[in-house]
Amino acid sequence: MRVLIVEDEILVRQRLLRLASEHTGGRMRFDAACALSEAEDRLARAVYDGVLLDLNLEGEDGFELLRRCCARAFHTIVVSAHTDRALEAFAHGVLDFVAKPFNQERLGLALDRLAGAAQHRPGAMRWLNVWRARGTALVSLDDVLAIRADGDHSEVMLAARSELHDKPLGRLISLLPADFVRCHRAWLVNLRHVQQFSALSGSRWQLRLSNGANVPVGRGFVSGLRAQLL
Amino acid sequence: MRWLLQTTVLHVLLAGLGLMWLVASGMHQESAWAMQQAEMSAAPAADIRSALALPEDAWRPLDQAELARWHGEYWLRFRLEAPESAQREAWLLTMSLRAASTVYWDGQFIGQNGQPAAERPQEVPGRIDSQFLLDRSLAGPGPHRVMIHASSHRASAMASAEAGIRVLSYPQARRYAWRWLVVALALGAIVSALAYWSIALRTTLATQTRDAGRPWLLALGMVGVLLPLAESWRPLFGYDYDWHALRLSLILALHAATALLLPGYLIARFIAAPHRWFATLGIAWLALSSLVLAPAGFDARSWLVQFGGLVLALTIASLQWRTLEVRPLCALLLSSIFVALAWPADFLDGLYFIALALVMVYLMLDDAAHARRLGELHERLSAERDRLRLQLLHRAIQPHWLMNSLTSLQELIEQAPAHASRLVELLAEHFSLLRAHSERDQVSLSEEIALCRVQLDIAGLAQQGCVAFRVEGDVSGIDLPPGVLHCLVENALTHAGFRACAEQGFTLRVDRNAGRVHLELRAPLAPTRSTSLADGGTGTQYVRASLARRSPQGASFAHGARADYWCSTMEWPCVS
Repeated sequence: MRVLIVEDEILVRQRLLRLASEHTGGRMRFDAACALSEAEDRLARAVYDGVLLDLNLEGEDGFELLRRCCARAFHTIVVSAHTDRALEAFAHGVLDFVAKPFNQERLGLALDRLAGAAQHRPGAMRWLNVWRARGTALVSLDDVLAIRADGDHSEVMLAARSELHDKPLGRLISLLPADFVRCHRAWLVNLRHVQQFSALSGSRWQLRLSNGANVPVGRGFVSGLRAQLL
Repeated sequence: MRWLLQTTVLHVLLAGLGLMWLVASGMHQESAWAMQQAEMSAAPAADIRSALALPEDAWRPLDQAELARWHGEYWLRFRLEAPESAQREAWLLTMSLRAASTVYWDGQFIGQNGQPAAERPQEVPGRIDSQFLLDRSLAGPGPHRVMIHASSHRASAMASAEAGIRVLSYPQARRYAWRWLVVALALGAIVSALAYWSIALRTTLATQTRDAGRPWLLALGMVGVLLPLAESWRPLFGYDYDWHALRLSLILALHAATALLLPGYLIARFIAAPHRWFATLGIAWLALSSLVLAPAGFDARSWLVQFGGLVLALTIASLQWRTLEVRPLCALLLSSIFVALAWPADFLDGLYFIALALVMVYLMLDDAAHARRLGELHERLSAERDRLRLQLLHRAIQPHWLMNSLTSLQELIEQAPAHASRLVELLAEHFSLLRAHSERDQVSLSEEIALCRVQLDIAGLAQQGCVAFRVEGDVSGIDLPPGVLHCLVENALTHAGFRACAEQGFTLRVDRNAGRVHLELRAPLAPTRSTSLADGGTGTQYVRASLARRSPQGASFAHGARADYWCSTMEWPCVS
């Protein structure tokens, strides 16, 4: 796995690099950026699985940066002193929040979470960052009916339109709340918007959503889905 | 238009009380008995028989000026004509005489006031005013003769003896004291206003603020209480005639004090410091001129002093006509001057006290309101000070700076323990300075610079660099609100970043010019932005609020991007 550390304080950056390297012992490769522009440049040139992000880079409110990061394919772990905004960060879809000052144990826990993100499910996410023509926009998860895999991206289905999100379905599910369940290898559905669970001919099943759209249900997911709906 | 309402109320009171005084005075002066002749004689006559036997050429018309200088025995003779209705009423003979006297009515002894004597040791002083009951059998219609055997061994030399008698009916005599009730009312108003004013000052905390006019107003209030007391001492309580000169001197001194204190208060309250001395010198010159040119006679001098004081006060108050609080006072002073010119005698006797009481009551109520406003402002400023202190501390322990410093310290402990130790020392020094700053309203510029340098040293150690803080100019004797420069430095570190700060450093220029302190702080500009410090940021809000609290009218703060640096300038008046 490849992880980018974005931190403007030199000693803090050195500490992150040192502790992270010691903890992962070569399982992860770490790069560091001291400024936002440098971080953007690295993210554009290489594929990263995770970012350790300081929320206050040169005095900028880090949440705009956080929204851009959370809309992308990699997971984000915030390393910040602003613990009062941790809940807000989780709502944007960060995988973990490490408060400063930190020790190796706490940082290691966050990195372990990043390594096993598929099993980890904080479920505190409230909004989904989607790409628009001019940057990112926030979509409330309450308005999301279902999410469909679209290659390396995800198509987010709303009542009247669809949006695009960078994270693949596998990474996204580790952030979403428990209302979102897998009903097909290519579909996640929001149980709050399911109106009908019906059988079709040929042992096929489908879900009818609140906007009238139908979502297929894979055979392997029928029993689990039925248990959750009933 | 509040001042118009106040002016109206003051004039209604002046007119009402003044009218009451004039009516009461008119009643007192009316007498049904006609005074036909007043004579005096210095011829030796030991008793009434001898006096009655004196030849007519031993008597001459009463000369008040000569009598005022007399120091021996003498006789007075008054011829009166009683009205037709004289026997239907009871009458009182009232006498004003600065002497010991024995009184005879148509040759018959009716009373004694002290004991007249040929030599001073034998004389028992009489009261300045005395009254004698006239039996109905004595006060028949027609001519009557009153003879007074008197001696004035203890009288001080004065312009006029003011000797006289008057025959009044009982109702008239009762009304004699009425007009002094008007003065008593004025006195009560002054005492009430003084009490209200004192309570207002205590309750509004305004006593904590220095007010140059307040001692003058207190003194004026005290004089305002003493003056009617001294004036009413004679009609209400009376005294032996040898006290009369002392009382008149006291009244004249109180008049003079009022005439000086009233303009003095107005100068102290409304005239700015540079012009205050000129106004004071002007008053002193006028007072000296009045003393030199003062006419003889207590009444003339008193009137001149009263009138001069009012004119001076009006002149000074008129200079501040644009101040709304002064307008009712100007109108009242103008009306008082008019009354002094129109009814000089009544003004001297009593209308002056009424006008003075109204002026003082207005000034004290106005000052109490002023003190209340100041108290409210003081409370607001105290709340603002507490808020700013809290903000200063809050900014100083803001998580981004503090937690990053602690995280850097964690790393330094493992990387370079000596540097870690130094960082702990700097943090301790920083918090110590900060705590001291937060407990004070003002700190010296050198202390503020020390706080900034510690802040920069901490950042330098954490970021493994060095930031210079240069000072140009003399920093001695300059105080400023705590944390102002520290806040600007912290802003620059946050927004421009450490690297830019380390490259450019900070420069503080200190200047004093035209009675103002001028500080200019040049800080690094953010590399990618032309406006590194947002105008609505909490930092600049803190600076603005702190400076505004220090000098509500005279402080200024501005900041903006220059070619290659961020410039923050602040100014405030020098404290002399």
